[in-house]
Amino acid sequence: MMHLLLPATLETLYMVSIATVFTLLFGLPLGIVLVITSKGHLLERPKLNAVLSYVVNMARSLPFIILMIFVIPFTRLIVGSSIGTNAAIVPLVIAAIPFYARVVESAIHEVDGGVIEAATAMGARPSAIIRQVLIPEALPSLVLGTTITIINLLGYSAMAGTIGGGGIGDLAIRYGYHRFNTEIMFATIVLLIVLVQLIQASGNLIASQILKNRRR
Amino acid sequence: MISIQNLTKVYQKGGQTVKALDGVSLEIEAGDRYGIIGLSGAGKSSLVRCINRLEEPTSGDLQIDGTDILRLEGAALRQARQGIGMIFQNFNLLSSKTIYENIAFPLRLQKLPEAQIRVRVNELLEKVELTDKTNVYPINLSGGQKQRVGIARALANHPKILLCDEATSALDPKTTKQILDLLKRINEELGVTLVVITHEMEVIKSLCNKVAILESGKVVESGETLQVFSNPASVETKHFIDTTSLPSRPSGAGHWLNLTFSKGSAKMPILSQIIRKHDIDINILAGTIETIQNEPLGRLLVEIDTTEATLKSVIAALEIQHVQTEVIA
Repeated sequence: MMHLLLPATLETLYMVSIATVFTLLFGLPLGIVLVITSKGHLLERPKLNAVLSYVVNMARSLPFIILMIFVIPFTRLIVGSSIGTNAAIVPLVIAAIPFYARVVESAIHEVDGGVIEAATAMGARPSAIIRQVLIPEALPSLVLGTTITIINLLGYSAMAGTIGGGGIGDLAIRYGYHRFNTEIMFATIVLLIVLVQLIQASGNLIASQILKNRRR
Repeated sequence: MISIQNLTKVYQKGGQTVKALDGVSLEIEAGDRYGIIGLSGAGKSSLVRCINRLEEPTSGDLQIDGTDILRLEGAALRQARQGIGMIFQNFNLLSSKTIYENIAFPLRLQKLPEAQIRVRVNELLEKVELTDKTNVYPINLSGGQKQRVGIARALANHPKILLCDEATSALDPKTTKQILDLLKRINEELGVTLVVITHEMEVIKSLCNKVAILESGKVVESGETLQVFSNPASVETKHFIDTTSLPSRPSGAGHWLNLTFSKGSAKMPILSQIIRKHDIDINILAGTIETIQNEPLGRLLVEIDTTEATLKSVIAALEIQHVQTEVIA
């Protein structure tokens, strides 16, 4: 059984970690732009904000399995193929970016307006306020939000098996479902539960460490 | 130093037009501790935020040392802001940074060398007496300590002006006094001009040499604090002073007079002279002595049961002795 589980787990970890990196890379700036272009914020741009918000909502309305098929031409353009683990990463990132952007948006929105006002009064430019005020102040919420996003990616990655993405979900469907192998099914479920617990526990730990440091 | 001419700020709220500022004109001179007092919603917060453009006025003119602040944009505006410190009711410290880093924040914005930042921050920590809290995070500080950090941070760039937005409103009376003393010291020792926004009469009395009373976005009265308090010209000012000091008139016989004694008149036996001279009885109903800018200001509410004619000569006698007299109807 291990010769099946180990590669599947590695594939899942590969997909999720690469997808996480790209999601953060695109989702964090998008989330920040959603906040600072909103009404009464640093760089108020109502029209841009409305358009971005609309696009984000639209992307989030699609179920992952449909989005995955829908973006196949784009996937082929990026990785040169529409099947395989790397091909699965593209729809994962596309699905997670709008989700993560909303997570970032709500975390950054929590930052006290007074602190932003104080930084503005000190002559800070918007880029400095984003880097030195908004992100550090929202860091504990951002860490927890990132944790949720990674767990979401783990869930999505299970569906990537349908396009030959491999991973734990793929294993569960092929062996557990199609071949009625209860042992494999059971093992993959335990594995997924353990992974989710580990990710959530690490996220909680990091966030609480940050907060604990700030009580010194 | 700060010259405000006919400043107006209008905004839309729930389909209604609100005039936060309605033609405000003020002259704040270098070295002033200028108080702006008003009830909440009077527009004082908008007014102070127009000075460093945290809010944009709709029209009017605002100059600081001859620079037209309202025309500044981008880098020039940011540079002007670095020369204007500001402290807040809720302190607005960064919870993610230590006290040291909070005070260093405005210096880091200017990318000063680390050694220079360290010298300046330590200097400021000493000035506000918080050297023992250098590496502590704001959550561990009391309100008064947080405001001292706020003051240190606001002074980091050697500003000529310090805007104080309800800086003591979240503090208890004892801490308020400490902060006001510190602000006064900063004004006297560093020559920093203070613009003090408050709804508390006590703040004006103990800190400000000049005061403007703001009501519904308009300056109803302004001038030297002692002058305004001892001889209020407008109904709004009287109302402001009365609601904070003397009781209102219950029904009863006799004429009620509100007497205000300042500088010269405070130390003379004026009332007993008048009693003897006019052969009348004076009943003292209430009295206070306040210290405004280190000058005593006495107020007496008295009742005199006498004829209109005698009353007139009593008032005349009082006013000769520089006692401000007001008949309460």
